[in-house]
Amino acid sequence: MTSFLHLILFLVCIIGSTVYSVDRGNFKTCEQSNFCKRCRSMDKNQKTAFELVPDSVILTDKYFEALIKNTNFDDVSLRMRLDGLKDSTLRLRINKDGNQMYNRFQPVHALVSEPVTESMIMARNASTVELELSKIIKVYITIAPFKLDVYVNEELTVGVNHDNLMQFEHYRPKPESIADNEIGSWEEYFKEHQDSKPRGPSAVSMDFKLYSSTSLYGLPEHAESLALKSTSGNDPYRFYNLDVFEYELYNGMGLYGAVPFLMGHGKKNSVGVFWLNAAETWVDIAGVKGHAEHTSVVESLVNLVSGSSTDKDIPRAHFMSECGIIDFFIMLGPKPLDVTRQYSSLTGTTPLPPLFSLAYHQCRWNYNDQKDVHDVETNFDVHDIPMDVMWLDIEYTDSKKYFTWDPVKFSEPLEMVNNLTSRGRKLVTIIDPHIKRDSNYFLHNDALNNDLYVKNKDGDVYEGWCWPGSSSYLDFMNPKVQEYYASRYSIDNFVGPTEDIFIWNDMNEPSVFNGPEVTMPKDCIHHGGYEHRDIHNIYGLLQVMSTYDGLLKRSNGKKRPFILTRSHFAGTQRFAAVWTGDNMADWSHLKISLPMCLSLAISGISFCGADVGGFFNNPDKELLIRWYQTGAFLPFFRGHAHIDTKRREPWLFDEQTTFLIRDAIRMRYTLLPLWYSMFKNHELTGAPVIRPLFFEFPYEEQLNNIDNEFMIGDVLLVCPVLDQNVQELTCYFPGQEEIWYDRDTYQPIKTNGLMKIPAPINKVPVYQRGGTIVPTKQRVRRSSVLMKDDPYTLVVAIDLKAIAKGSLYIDDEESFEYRNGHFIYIEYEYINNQLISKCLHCENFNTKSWVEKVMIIGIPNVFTKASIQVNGGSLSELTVLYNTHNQVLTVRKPAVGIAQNWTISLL
Amino acid sequence: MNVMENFNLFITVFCGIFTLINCTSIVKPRGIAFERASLYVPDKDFSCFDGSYIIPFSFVNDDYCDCPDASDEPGTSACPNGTFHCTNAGHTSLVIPSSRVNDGICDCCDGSDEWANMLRKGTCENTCEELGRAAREEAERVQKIFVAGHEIRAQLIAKGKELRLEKQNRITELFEIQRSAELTKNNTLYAKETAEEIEKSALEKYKIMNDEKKRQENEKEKLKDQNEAFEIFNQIDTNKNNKIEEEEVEAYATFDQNNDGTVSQDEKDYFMENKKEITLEDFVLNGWIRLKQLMLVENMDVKDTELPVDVDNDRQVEETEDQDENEDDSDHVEDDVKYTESEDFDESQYDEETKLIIEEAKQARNAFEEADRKFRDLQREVTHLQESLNKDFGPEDEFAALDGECYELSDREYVYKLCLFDQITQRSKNGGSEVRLGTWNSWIGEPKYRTMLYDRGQHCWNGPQRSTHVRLSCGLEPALLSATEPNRCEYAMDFVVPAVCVQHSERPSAPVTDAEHDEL
Repeated sequence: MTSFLHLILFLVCIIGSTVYSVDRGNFKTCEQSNFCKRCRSMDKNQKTAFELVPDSVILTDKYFEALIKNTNFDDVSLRMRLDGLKDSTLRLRINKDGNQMYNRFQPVHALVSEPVTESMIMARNASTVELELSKIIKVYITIAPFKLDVYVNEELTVGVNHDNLMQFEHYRPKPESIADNEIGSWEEYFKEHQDSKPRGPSAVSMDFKLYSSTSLYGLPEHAESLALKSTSGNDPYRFYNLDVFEYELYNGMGLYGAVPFLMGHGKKNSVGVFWLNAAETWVDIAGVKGHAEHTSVVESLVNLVSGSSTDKDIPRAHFMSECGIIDFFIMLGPKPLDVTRQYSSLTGTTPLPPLFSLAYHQCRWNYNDQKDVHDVETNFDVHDIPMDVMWLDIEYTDSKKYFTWDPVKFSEPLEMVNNLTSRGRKLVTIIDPHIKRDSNYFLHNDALNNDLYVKNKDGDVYEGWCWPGSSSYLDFMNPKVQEYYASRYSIDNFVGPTEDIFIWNDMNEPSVFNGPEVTMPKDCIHHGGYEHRDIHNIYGLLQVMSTYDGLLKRSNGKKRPFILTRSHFAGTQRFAAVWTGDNMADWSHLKISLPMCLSLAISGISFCGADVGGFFNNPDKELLIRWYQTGAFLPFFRGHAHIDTKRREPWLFDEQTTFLIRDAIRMRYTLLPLWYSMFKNHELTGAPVIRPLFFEFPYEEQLNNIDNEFMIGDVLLVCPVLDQNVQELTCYFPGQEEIWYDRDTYQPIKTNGLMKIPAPINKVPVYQRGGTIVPTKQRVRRSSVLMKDDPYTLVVAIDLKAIAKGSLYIDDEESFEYRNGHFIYIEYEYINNQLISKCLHCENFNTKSWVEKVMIIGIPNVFTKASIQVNGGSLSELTVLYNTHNQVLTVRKPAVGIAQNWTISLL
Repeated sequence: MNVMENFNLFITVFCGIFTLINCTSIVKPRGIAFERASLYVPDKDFSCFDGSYIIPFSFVNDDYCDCPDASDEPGTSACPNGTFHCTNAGHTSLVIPSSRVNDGICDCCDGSDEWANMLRKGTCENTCEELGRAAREEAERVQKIFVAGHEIRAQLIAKGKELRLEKQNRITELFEIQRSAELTKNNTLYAKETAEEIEKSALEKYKIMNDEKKRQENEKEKLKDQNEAFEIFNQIDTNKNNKIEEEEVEAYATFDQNNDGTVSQDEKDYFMENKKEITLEDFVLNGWIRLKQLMLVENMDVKDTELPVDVDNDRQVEETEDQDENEDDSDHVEDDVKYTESEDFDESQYDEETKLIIEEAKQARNAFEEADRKFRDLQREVTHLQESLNKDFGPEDEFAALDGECYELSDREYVYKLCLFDQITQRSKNGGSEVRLGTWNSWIGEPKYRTMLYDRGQHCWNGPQRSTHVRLSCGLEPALLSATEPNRCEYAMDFVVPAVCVQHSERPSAPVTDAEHDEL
């Protein structure tokens, strides 16, 4: 039996490394997914079958409700409910009225809480119902054909069903004889897999026109540019969480995650559309500049010719889902940061991560044993490279049985963890959702005895094939499973008395090696009688919810969990960080990591990164260096590698490589106070931690397609080197009244537009925005915990008016005590040659940190000394040093506690 | 709280400057070795070592980095690239990066790197005495092994020299023997060729007889084939009109080449050569041949599908090939094989004289083979000896005595076998064939004669050829200590052997940390 298993694994491996990119034939096209084919073939020029029933209209102080009839089926009517939500947001839900044959699934798990409604005012005439929300927003509902016009400040902003593509297929009994063109609605084959579809057709769809936008963004996860492309002539963007082996770039194939959030952006305003549906979903995009791959010349010509038609130029999206209800939100901005705030008030923000998780992570499939882990850790110290977290991939388990340890290679897990924690470090171990079918495995036995597994269409426990061989899959839809799974993480059940092991949930699409499209058959049955097709895209979210719960309970709710997940959905940001999955050691994959993480960031998931170095294949040292230099500026920063690759720890190349990688990682550590403050700000406001340039400069249209640069908060502009053999690169500097200061040389750049930048191998082009103050820690130690009490250096970069502002957030870096007010929040302002520190929230947290240095960039050489006044006390003098080469004035050692109120005056 | 804060800062600044050493009046800045203390003169301004700045002496060790070269802060963590020196009295002194000063971790055994924390809590106890003693004991132990090992090494060197001499002598000796063996070989070759010539002409008449017999047999065969064709023709020709027509072909399953259950037009056309009907004559001349091919193809198809699937088979083939490359006696067999063509001859028909001639030829061949084999054996022995002499057994031949010696190591899953200067293998405890992890190649790396490279091992599935680095260190008994696979298909072994117990300034390499080695 085992040798058979080995043979299979071996075959998998063979396939693994001889094929160099994705086998598209393993994944469906829209044409092969029957509901997509049905929805996509709807005719825009055909009047919609749906009409509002005028007599049914009701407006309460909470919502508007009405019936919609389907003119093709007299006996079927739908019920729509429109909610006006606070903060310029609308929600529309359409479900069948009355009973239906099967419950339609609603993935409310994505929502952080029940959205708060606001009252609306209604007016109506024979053909239209008019609803007004918070004075500036008006919704006109046309009765027949059913459609919505959303106006903001009297301007048409969003149109719903303007292209007549609304669909709602009601459940119906299976007919005795099925017409040829309907066979696919009742049964579908893909390769050797049958989808039995016992419930028949149940698709829903809707089209949206974003009248005020010029570009569309979001809809992660796809290996695609930041700006979405027209899908005409190609497949739509697909949402179906899949383990895509060696994925290709720049296309709309479904990847590991699905966040059906779309952002439209134009000079005047920005809007968002959130399509809340967990089933397989496809989205057609049109009316935007730029075209998806493989567009024929003829097609481009057609677009060019018909370009004069204004209707064609309106960005639009057509969402099509296999089942569920029509449930969507429209967020009306008006600015990008307003849209992300509105979206995150629905799906939540990332709770402030423990600081270590923002530091550097070291991973490999696999570190062979506990000695290997120790040796690698030791080498980080030998080469004086900071590192916070060691990771263990699947091989640490006893025969891929999660929550167990290999009895020989990892015989002393607790000792291993304690070795790490003695240097302030942590351990992350992988826990996948598939469970080995092994009668000697407690988890499998528990699952069988307590009925915790997903069932197949015949009601038996579903069996698939994954890392351990024959496996079954926990049904996280079941509250019993959620509770059981969470308790696996408790100290008694896992490793022993440590809270320093954190969790990596992988393969949670779920990945099933022998399943259709490498996942679970859609006719499998979950708790509550739902089919897998109903819930597929939230399977991974459900797993991380349980894991989060488990980690929380492990510390009695005291310590912040850290989880990394591959599969994700809207709302995943509340529980876990996300990485871009199994990428490749290739320059193109370094490049795509920016738009992939930016798309996730504007869709609520800021805590994102890509495997530094690339997962498959071996990076050369140049690629590895550039990847570290880039990865150090993405929120999640982890080196990772496939088991078949050569070791690539930073010291295994040459001295220069070690040195440059060390520099990149150290740069990350000096900026940890900024990252931490940004994440705190994200938790409060939903503002993405990393952002596309247009977020900060929404009026500058040239920025709309830039995705090889990004900003960290509103402070740093990162223009990383993403190509081989680069000595010079071109960066775009946004904003007309801006100054950008090079973070290495402090040289100012006042250009608005493109500029050439010298970028030899040791250069990481990063710029601080004039007008900002960045708190840093310059004493980089072995791990972030060891820097907790260290002093701060404030880097003040002045703008054209010689003003700058900044802030700093400090707490215990690991617990939830900050929610009880135990934190420090400080605002800094530099104005009139004075730097003022106002500690706005300082009472309930003590820190030993102090201010060791203040650097003021971009000021003339006119000051000879400085004075400091602490808490309104007496003045004391400070030494200043002016560097005429870079116009940086350094105030020497203010030596004041960071949580004090003080003013430094330049004299 | 504010007061407390300021107090702490004050302490930090105050304590940062000096440490009082013993009860003398000598003062050295914290984090500086005694030898360098004179560079810091308290009553003078301090000049950064790189000359960049001159600062008041009070700025030295004041927990603020003034000098870009870190020279003003030897005792604090203020400078990013500075170092801290701990005296570690009772043990060896240590230099650590400044970033390890006051980070809560005791790096110096005297605890001096955690001075700020010591003052508060006494976090780091002075463990130098204890550690120093242990280190000295360990050094002593290693030294003992070293001395003893060095003696054994001397014996190995002597043995090595002896072996070299022996080999050289043996080669000279072999050259002599080889010369006479070659003579014998040439003589027997001549005798063999002569005897075979006679044998050939003696067998000539039988050959002619035999050819005639074969011709007759062929004739018979042809007739049989024709009869068969008639029979098949009649079978297909169901309406017995002496013609094969399309409808008759349709009913005959052999023509369904793609096995789809029907005989398609294409399949019919192929057989009928686009004709409507085939006469008997036509069939015998052409159709029958095509029909036979169809039957044959059918058979072959079945075989084809069976062949390539079994990957394990492929692998074994590959492995055998690999091994063949390393066996040098694979070349001489073939030309000796074909000496009698007489298999289909009936030997009983030979007369007595012929039998005698054949017997003589056989004996001549045997004699030659024997002589040839002897010659080759000698040749091989010489080659081996020469190869062995050319192997790098170290500057003093200290490894020569170990040539070909094998050592095993058994872990949970495998038994590893290292045969020095030969090859390394791995055998799974669960059975299965041995896997070669490498064949001796050369010494690599610095210092020389400490790391052996065995490469060109068996291919990994879909990966590189296996290779192994063997790291040598001093030990009294040769032994294989560890075997790991840090990269896929790249193995690393630790091997102790007295041959490397060299008494130079260079320290013995006894318990080296793997940290250094992983970077090979």
